[in-house]
Amino acid sequence: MTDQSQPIEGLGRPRLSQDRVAGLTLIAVSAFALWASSDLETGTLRFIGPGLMPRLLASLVGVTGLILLVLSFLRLGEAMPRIALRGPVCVLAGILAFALTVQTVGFAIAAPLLAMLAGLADRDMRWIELLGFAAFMTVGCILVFKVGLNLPIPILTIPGIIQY
Amino acid sequence: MKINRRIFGLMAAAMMTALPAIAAAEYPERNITLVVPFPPGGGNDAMARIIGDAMTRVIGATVVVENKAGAGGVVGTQSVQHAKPDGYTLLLGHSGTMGINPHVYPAAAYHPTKDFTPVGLISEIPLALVVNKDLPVQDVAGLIALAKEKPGALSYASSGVGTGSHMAAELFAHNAGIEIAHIPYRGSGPAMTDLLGGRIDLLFGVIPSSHAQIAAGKARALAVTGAERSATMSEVPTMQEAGVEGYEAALIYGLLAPAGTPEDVVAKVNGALNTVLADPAVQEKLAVDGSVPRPGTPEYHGKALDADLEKWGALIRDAKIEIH
Amino acid sequence: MDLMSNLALGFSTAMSLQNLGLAFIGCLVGTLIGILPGVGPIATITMLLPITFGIDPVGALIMLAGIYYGAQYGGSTSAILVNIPGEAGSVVTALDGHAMAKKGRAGAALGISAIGSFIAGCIATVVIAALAVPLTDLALRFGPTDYFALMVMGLVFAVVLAHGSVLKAVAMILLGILLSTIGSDLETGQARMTFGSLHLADGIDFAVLAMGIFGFAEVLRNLEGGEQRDVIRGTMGPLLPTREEMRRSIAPILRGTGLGSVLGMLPGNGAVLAPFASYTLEKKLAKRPQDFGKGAIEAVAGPESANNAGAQTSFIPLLTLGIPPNAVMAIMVGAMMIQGIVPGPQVMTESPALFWGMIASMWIGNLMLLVINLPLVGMWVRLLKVPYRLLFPAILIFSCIGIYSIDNNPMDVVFTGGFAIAGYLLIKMGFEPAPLLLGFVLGHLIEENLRRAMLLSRGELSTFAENPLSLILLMISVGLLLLSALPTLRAKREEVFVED
Repeated sequence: MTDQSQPIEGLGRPRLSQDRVAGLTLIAVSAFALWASSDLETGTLRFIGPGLMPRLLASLVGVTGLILLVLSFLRLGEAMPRIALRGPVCVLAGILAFALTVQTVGFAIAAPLLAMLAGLADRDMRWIELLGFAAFMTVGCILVFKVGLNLPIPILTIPGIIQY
Repeated sequence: MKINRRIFGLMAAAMMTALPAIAAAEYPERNITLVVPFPPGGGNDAMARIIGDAMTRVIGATVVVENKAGAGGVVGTQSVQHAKPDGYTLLLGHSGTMGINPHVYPAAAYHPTKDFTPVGLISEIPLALVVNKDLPVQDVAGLIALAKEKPGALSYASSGVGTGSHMAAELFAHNAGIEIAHIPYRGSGPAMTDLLGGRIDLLFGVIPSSHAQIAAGKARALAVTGAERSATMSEVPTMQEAGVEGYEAALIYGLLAPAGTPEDVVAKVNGALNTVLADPAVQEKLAVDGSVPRPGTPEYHGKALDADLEKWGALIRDAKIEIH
Repeated sequence: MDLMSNLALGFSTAMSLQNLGLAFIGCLVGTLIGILPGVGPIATITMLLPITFGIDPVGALIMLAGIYYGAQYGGSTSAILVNIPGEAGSVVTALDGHAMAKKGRAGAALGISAIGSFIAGCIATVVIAALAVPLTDLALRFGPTDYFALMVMGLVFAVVLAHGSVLKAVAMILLGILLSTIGSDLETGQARMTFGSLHLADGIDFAVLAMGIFGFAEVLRNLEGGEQRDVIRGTMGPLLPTREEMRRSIAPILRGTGLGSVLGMLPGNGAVLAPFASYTLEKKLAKRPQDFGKGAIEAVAGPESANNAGAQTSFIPLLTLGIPPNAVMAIMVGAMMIQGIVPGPQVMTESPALFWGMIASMWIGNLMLLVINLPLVGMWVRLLKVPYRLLFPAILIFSCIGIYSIDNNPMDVVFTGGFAIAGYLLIKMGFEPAPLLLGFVLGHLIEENLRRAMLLSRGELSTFAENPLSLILLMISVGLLLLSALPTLRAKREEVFVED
């Protein structure tokens, strides 16, 4: 990670400590988990309740976060690397599109949609090549997993016309 | 009547295979989905596949088993509750999902006979009261005496909160007036492991797999929970014979359809189910899980469901079993 | 000798043309499904279980066992090639296996894992045949206190697994256990941190978490790497392991096999620890522990062998007691019941052909895996030469099919996407995902065994000290923890001095 230790752009600060971000994140996660498990009973040593472990762990996560935070002020650790936006956004969009369409419209649409949307993440993307590859992958997967192995994946559903 | 149906079934099956394009006007004209609200590979799944496979040969359409597991069976059960009531979506229901869950899980907001159409009872699964081989008791009376002598000292294992093995044990403790500690496990296998290892004193288990341990001398059975003795362990008395008055705990299994399914469709599926249950080969396969076939009308199934719901509800109320 | 005649019976059963064919198909199909990223043995067996219903009991179980081994090997393959583990055991394989792939040694990693698995399989088969019965009663002595102590020891392995900051590794382990507590509580049935979602009621699926936080996060990280991200950079060495690599691997394979065989026969799912234990052991024994995590072949050979040996000996509780030690074996029980067999101690005496046939088929299955997979290594490696701009959409499609197929639930795919983003951010903050996954896997076991131990001892904490086994295990854990923490602490101090 040392090779990527450029500062986050546009934050008005030359350098953001990685440990500080990590510590604050852990503290936030810990606070959220403590809130989410606040309705659970802690119980006794004999009847340990459902709340003991979640709260104990959440607290410990908070403590490690606190230590990281303190350490980030005491020593000069690594800087927070740059966080890309294009990749995560495109890939997430593709995954969500797949999830939304696979059961309603079918795999024959969901898979190319996933490939195209996620494919946008890459700057080297070439439309024709990607389209062809997506078609090839989709047909290949249908042949192997639906025809060959009989997995119950809906392939194409158009109400009243086709259901496969 | 039954023979006619079987001939019709065969005819329909022949038609379906020969001319799939010409759909018969009458039910069933396509595959029937049998939803199992548990993952593949469990007892529920096995039963559904045995019944589904046999019914395919009788009813004239393929019965496809679909596993929709989640949240102790609530997910799959609800999916059938909200399915189209046309007879093409059926549910394998049992005491756990139909009789116990509605009292236990807030999410299980359904009623077995109001939100579903009972199609037919498949079977009953009685359990066996199994004790560690070194426990110094010979019969149920001895066990009760020991438990009364040392209240709370004996431990029983269950295969999870709200399962049949938990409820059967609570009913026993309630009826016998004893206090035994509940140790829940994730499934019956780990529960049996600790019984064999001597850390658990007793449990209520399915008869055939318990019998396997008993035959190997690794555990002992004190009673069976059904109204009659079990053919597998005929020397073991029923709970009532052993002196626990009014005790009967058997898990019921049946086919259900969404509420509002047409009567003629229900009758047809019920007929096919009863035909299948009369088949000795099917009976033999079901017996692996301790199933005792209970063929009957949809009304009979409905009464059984209502009685089951009432019985476990009363126990959970009276014994103040704390489940959230 | 009795053992010999039994084995002869087993081999004559398993060697029938039909059963050989079934073992072959099982291994092949299991490999094909298991290679889907994120799809491990449990999902594969679940998906393929129905195809065994029409077959006679012995054949069906032989085929299922084949599917199991195939899925396991397929899972290792996707862990090595695309860094997506399908089950807990492959997490360890992914660490150094994928690092080897990046160095152009994917073939060596795949080869050594096939060879290691085969050797482990052979030895474990003999262990089962010879020692299954006497060891069963010994394994039954393991109770909740012992499992708790064992799993705590497993957590210490997780610290060793990390190669960065110990503090961050500990945070990830804790976070992993925290994630494992989501879902219905075993003892009360209460929904924990599910926010009323039925989807969360059964907790988070391992495959969903692992694929998101490990595999997809890796894809996201590669996407920003420009030309550097193609999995294979530069030239590739010889396809299969070299003589030197084989020589370095043989001791780890044997040690891994030993660890896996012992842990696998515990009825409380001890096999889950086997690969982690082996990794820890190899790292401690290695001449160059600093290579671990960067593509050390010992770190693939040992854990893969341990995993396979554990997978195999976890049949022992099933075969001798009828008790399934883990989810895979539970499905085996279901398959036996559908075939009309009541699992239990009587299987051995009442259906010796089935019992010994299955044991023999384990060995045959391992041989077939080697036969099927060594020639395929070249094909898999060639897949990595696909340019990354096409490789990553393919990984995503395969992964999404896999995740969707596990439960036929698109919500799982959505969750995977969420974990991918979380994983990407965690990597940016300098956290490693492997300790999180180990914490997640062991979380259930730790909590349940702790609470069960407390219930059984009626609330006496001294139960851990009274029990010699758990006491020893806990003491080893503390020792290991100190051993791995001390050098880091010393390093930290030096670092501080340097900066002063």
